[in-house]
Amino acid sequence: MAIIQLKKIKKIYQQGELQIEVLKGVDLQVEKGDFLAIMGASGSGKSTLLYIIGCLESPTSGSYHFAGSEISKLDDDSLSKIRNERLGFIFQSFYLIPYLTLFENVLVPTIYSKKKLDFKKRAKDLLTRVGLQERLSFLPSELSGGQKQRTAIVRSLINSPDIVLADEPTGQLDSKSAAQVMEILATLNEQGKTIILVTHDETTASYAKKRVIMKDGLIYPA
Amino acid sequence: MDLSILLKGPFIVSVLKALRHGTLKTLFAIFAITFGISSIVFIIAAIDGSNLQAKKIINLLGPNSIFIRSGFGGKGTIRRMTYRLNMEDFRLVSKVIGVKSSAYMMLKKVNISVGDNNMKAYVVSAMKDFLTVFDYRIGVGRPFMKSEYIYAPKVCIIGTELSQELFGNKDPIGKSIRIAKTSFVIVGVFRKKGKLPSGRSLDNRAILPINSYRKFIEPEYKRFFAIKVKVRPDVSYDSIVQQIKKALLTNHAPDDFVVVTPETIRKFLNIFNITLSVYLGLVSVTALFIAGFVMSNIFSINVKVRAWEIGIRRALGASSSEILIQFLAEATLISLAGGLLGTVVGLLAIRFLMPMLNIPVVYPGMSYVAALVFSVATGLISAAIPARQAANWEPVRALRTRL
Repeated sequence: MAIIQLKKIKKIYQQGELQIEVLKGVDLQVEKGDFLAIMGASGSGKSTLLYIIGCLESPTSGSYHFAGSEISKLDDDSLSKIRNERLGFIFQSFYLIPYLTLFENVLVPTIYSKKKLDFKKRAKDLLTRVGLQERLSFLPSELSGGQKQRTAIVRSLINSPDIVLADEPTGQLDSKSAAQVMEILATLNEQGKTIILVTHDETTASYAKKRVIMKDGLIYPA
Repeated sequence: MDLSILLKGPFIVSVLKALRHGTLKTLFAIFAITFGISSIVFIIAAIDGSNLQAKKIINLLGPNSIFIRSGFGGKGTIRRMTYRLNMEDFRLVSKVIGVKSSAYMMLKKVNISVGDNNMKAYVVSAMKDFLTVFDYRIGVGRPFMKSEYIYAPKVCIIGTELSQELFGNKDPIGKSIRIAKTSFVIVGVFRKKGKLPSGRSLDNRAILPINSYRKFIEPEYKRFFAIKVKVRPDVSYDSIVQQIKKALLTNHAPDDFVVVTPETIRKFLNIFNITLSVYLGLVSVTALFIAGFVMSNIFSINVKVRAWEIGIRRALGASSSEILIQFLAEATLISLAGGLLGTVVGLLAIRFLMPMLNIPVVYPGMSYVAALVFSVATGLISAAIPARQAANWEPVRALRTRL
């Protein structure tokens, strides 16, 4: 069963008099357990598509079914709840909160979770799995790019989401750190996690099981 | 609005660390609030203190009383030479309709001693009715007897402070003291009366029966310091005061005497109170307004600088109301810190400034309540707009504004 189903998704940005149509009617279906790479040049609309999938932005028109429910009908609180419980985000520039330690950053999503779990233990386990168990009380400024992105991966996983969304996750990393990060994502996918990745980088995309190409606001098979 | 996140460990840590992260901004906001709150704490205590002062003075005057004292308008080199009231005045005042009882008082500063223990203190004359009209109540011993007002016996009644000075904790009744050049036997001690607004105590005096005073203290003198009357509660107070003034004006210029009533005390202190309240009120409102303005600005800068943080929190699942709560929580903590510091500064001001303004030092509970309410209100009101703005940002727009 498709966990994500996009039909004729359009996104138009209004800039003064100018209308910019970034997505021109995207159809996309993602199955549970998929590892999908959306490739494309910058400005192709791939990030916008990922943000729409991630419920961070709403489409101008079209329908988006997430796990059976129509997203456009949900209010802000319900969307926040979906982002919190069912989606995990990884960004190119990590977005770790500078005044919180690595460990505290990982726990940020749990602030907004209604679940009552032993998140601290889970955080430690996950951080051990990505090799950061020695760095718990480090601030983001004391970490390398690779370490920051691994922290962000753990943060995206802390609430056990159905899907992990990654926006250029290797964009600011050297090739060795990039490979480490992608290995981790590949392993997660092998363990059953659905992953959608946006990248312009061939090597990064090569870890995905499926690939599509985005061009001028439309999706084409690779 | 779901406030349960306020109790979550990671949330609390996050709020506290955010405040520490912006130390300079945080301290600036705290000091702004401190200034406003300390002036509010002080103003409330000052008003409370001066009300207490008014009550004390009115109590000192006693119930249903009018006090007439000599003005100091004369040009005499010795002040007592300017005492203007005389027997004719007393006779006129006593005849005013509504006056129930009346008494006059002469007084003089003299040497009072027991053995080698020597001090300067006031000695006061007591005619018949003096003790009741001037509200002297006997604590230990007895009042003067009727015959003691007629003859000039060497007896006296003293105040508690004088007793303490001369005899310590020993019973002074039956002992002799030397007042001016004559030895008197103490027959009673009057109960503590307290201090005049000027700070002078009424409890270190000695009282002599009128004829003893005339014979041994001031044989020649015909004028006195003050007249006091008790009025009948069924006759209009104002009309009695008017009649007394009229009676005194037959022989005197208006600044020869001062008529003191609870009303004049209240009026005088009210003017003082209103001036003080308006002045301090303006200061604190201005201070709080500035505090709110500073805080509002700090928060709007704060929210802009941390736009992407708001974005990432939204992406990680924070609802817009949870963003609002986060910023309001930060504002509230700043306010409480400012409120607490303001209270401390305010208390110090009460402790050291109020004695300079001659206001009794009080620490009213209202001050603390007001400090809490005004600090939190200032914080919440000034942070509300920026916080709401932050909460309503679209997550993506916030994320893309990384500085």
